[in-house]
Amino acid sequence: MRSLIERYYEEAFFESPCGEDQYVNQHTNGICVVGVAPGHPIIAEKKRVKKVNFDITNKSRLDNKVVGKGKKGGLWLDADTPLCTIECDDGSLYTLRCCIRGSLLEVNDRLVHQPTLIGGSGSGSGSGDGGGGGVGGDLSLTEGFLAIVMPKKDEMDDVTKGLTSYHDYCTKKGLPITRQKIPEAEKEYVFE
Amino acid sequence: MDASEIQRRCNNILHEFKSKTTWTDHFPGMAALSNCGCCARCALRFTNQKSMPLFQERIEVLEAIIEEIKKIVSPPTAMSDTEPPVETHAEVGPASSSSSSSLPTTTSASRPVCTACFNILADAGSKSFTEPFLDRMSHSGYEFHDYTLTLQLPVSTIVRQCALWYHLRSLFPGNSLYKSENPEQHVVDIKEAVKWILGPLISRRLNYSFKNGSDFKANLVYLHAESSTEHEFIEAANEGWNKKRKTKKGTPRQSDSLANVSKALTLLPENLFCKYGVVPPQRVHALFTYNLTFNHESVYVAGRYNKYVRDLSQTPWLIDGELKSKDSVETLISQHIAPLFECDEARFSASGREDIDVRMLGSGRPFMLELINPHKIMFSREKYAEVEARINAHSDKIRVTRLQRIRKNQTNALKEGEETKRKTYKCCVWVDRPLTKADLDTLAQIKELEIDQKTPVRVLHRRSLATRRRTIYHITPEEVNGHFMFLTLSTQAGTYVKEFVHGDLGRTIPNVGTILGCKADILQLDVLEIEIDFPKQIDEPKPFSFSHSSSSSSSSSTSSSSSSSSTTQPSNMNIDSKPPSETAPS
Repeated sequence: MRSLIERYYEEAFFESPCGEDQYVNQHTNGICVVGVAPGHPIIAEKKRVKKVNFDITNKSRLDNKVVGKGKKGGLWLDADTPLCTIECDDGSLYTLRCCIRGSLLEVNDRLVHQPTLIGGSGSGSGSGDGGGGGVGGDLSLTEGFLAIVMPKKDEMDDVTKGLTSYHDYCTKKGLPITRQKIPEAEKEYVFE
Repeated sequence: MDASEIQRRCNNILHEFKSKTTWTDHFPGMAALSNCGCCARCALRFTNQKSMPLFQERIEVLEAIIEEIKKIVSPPTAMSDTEPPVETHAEVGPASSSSSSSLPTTTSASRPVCTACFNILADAGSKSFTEPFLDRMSHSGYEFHDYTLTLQLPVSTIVRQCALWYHLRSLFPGNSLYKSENPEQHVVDIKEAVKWILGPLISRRLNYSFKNGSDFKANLVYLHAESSTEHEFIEAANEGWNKKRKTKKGTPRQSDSLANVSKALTLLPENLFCKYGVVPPQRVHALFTYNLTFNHESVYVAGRYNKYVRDLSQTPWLIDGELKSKDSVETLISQHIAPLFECDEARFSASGREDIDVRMLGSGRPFMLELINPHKIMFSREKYAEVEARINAHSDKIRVTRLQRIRKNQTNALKEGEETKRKTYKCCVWVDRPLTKADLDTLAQIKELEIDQKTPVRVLHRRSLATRRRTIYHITPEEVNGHFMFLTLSTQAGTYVKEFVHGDLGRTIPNVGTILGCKADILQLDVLEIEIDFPKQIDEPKPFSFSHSSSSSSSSSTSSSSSSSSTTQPSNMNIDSKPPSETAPS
């Protein structure tokens, strides 16, 4: 059975030169969910996240407000605009970026009180404390997302063009390819 | 009516006039108007006597009266004419009346064109107009219970009315009859007078009943091309008139509507009017023309639908051409109903909707179809039952029940329930670890659980971002095997059930995953029940009973509580069929 991500999202990855990879999952409707990829040291080295800080240059992404159907008023982000900084128990500090161009809809405010949602794995019990067991950090792909970003209407098709595909990324990083390949013809059109 | 009869009627009426100063005071004015080229009825209008029977008199009688009045006012030696009357007019449609022309007034076979009404009023009762008009009225192609006639006049009529008024004021200065600077309240409106004549005519000849605010409208638009620019001098004369024209881009010239021109005239002083306008108004050569169009108020059909498949959208989903679902619930229903009504458009709306991959079971979801400008409206309850059966036979994918006509004021009920009602769902849920009895008990014990749902990502492209608090009233779990179970849930309207199960990346809290402490996902979802009683269930026909008074437009109701309609009918008769005398011939 295909998971939520497999059903609704196309997975793509931003490979950073220093290995601080992030994912960009694009929903069928074009909206993107951005987060920490399995190749990122936080997940690959099974670090425990101590704090997620959304305050960048005095503009807290937590204060982002969008109004109306058009979702107006969101912070405009470029690919290299920082989203947040993550501090781990071992003292390491990472900056995470947007990776795509778009308007910020929301950041994952649950990370303020439950930073271990990033790097956690296994059952999504809300405490997000997993560590070890199963595919490391798979919560990061779901409940541990960082932000939801809406690209411009005419850029929606191109926004993931510079990124690495799921298949290539898994091959490069030696990750199991769990996503089922469905022939184009049988792809069910998921409207919502 | 032959010449002697005309003369006799003329004498009778004249005798009446002469005995009252309310009439004799108007004689000079009436004569003057006639000399300006006004028809007899228009001359009458300026007396402001709203006498229906008088206007309904045959035009020949009225013409005879005017001739007599002219003789009284200025005995034959004095000529007060300004111009000789213009002879024939352009032919429009069938030949003008060729009957009685043996009277002394008209020297030509046809009537000259009135300077005030272009013969709109003069010919209103004459066969040359009435025959084609009645013919078109009776062949409208519409079914209706009663009618309203709306009239629209050429703008120049109001300008000329003003011009004639000012002419009278200049001819009879100081006369108290014309002391007002504005003719508006002092002259009978052409529209009114036309209705006095046409109304009874339509009633008598076609047997249609007039009703103010009827659903069926006959729109009679009079036109007169020759005089169409006569009002334009007003703008030049009155700088700054109707600033609207300057500010709005791209909108059609509203300034040229009769209402606007009429308003501008009230603001334009008499001296400016006389300076820039034509007083008295010029003679015209062309007769009026007209357009007759019809329109019927929307009619509403409601019912409930079930959807039994997981690949049918509710409404046609268009991307460029047509996408996956060529069919939709809407088209499967509408295609059997709309053609019957011969309407311009059929608009579908439902009380909420389900996703394409969600079935609609139970007693179905309420919907309604608004049929815009329907030509045919009278269908019996049997007919609705027949259409319903036909829809159901045509496709296994949907089913329609309770199909009936509803009244406009019942349409609100459709949307009202959306926010407040309860809905029951059943879904198939997968969890990532084996289910325990404790899990099932936890779920079964839930009563009125409040959840906060952020707008699901899957609809975020078209809905605003917000957090919605909803209530899960209760859950009935049924284990299928270790990892699968069915959940039957009763929730508040507007709850996203799919997101309650899988959590939508943790944006719906709590969710089944957080409640059970595992990962959960939803495989399939059905809507079992929508708790709203709309439209009402259709009974078996009740026994015949005269004491009932039921509305003439709802084809059924369990409680005939709607007693606001005027017609009293036994409740089981064909609600939409009228007593024979009122049916429009098709």
